[in-house]
Amino acid sequence: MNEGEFHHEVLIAGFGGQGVVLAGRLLAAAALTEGREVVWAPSYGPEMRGGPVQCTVIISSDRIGSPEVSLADSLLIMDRASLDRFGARIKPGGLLVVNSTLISVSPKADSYEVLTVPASAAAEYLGNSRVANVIMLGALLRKRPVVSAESVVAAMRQVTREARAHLLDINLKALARGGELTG
Amino acid sequence: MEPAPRERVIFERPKALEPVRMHYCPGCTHGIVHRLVAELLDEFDLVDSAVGIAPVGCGVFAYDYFACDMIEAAHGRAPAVATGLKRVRPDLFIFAYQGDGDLASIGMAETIHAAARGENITIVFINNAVYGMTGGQMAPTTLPGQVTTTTPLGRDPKLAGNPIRVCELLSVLEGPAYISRVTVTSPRRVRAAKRAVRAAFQAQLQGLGFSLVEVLSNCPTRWGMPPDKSLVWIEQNMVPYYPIKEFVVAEPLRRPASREEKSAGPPPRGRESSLREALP
Repeated sequence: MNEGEFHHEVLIAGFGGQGVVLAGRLLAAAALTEGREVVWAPSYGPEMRGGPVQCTVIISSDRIGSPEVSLADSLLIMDRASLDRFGARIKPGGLLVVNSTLISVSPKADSYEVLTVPASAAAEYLGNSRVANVIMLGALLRKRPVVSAESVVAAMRQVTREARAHLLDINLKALARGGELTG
Repeated sequence: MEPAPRERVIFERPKALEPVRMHYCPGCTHGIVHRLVAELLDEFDLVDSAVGIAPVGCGVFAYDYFACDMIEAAHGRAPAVATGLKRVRPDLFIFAYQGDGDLASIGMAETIHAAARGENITIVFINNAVYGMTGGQMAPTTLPGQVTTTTPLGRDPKLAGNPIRVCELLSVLEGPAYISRVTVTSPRRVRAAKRAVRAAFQAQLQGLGFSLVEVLSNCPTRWGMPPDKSLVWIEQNMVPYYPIKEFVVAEPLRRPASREEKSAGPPPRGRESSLREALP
């Protein structure tokens, strides 16, 4: 890759209701506001709640040839079943973020970096377990600033409907909390 | 010594319902309707002689939940599969369980023609005004003004057309023996829904022709509201557009209205508050 060129592939996985699709959407919308080329590809089964969900986001300075992410630069894993299913889908030198509240095992890390974040517990502490996804996103962005936090905040304002405006505040806190939990 | 108190079973899982965990979202009314269908399969002793057709949609895993034989049809094609089955094996009881995307969009042709031919099959039609499984897109039954992921500003009939009233549409045909719309927002509504499904079963068992029961259902997940509010939403928004009534009742199925039905009338006012009070 030449200087100035940028390409980053993210895979987020969890179960329906954990906000996997939304986390990916926030990341994608944030990258768009920064003028990047973006592919956002959510994938979920017939069950809207409780079933396996994954979402890939490709952020690039150039046009993106394939929407498929085989090995991710960054892997966000929200639950144990997803770790078993997607744990190996990571590039050497990549970053694996696991939601340690729901994943008791520590993944082996020889060729990539592992970051354990008690996202669900931290979300509960903030007052809403559903912001665990944004905490994970905050942790990712502290370690791999593929988009700026400001762009994510702008994305949140953009995708938040009026009826959900009251949730903006806790999500802003969650984004910041995720960053703090990395170190 | 006092005699041990005798235990009496007053409520249990219908035999027609497998003892498995369902995948439906919390508060979804699919569970209630599954149960009604299963209770009637039990009541008519049909578990060994029924074949159900599962749809594509949230109800897709119905084949894991009903204890009778089940077939998964291609999207919208349940009435065609049911037609073939019933014609080859008229001794079997054939029912399709379909959602509004499956039945009223991609499968509308099969639905109308099966009804027009008067196929001796039974359809349980779940109408929740949205594509639940695929991500909350607009369905043919989505109400004017209703926000979905594909109508983020609300459904504009000028742009996106008008919602389809399936029962009304089918009731002008000669084939149907029983067409009814019900909902399951309260215990009284659930009992009325069961009577309707029973009548639809009887239509087939008596060889009278096509029968369909539309159940106005909820989608807390895709409507973006808690389950209790979603039931109120059905009563306040869906029922005025989709009236609860029997549209076609073949002569042999007519019965005197029960006392409960006579006193039913419109739903009582203050329904929302009574639902709120019912919550812990």
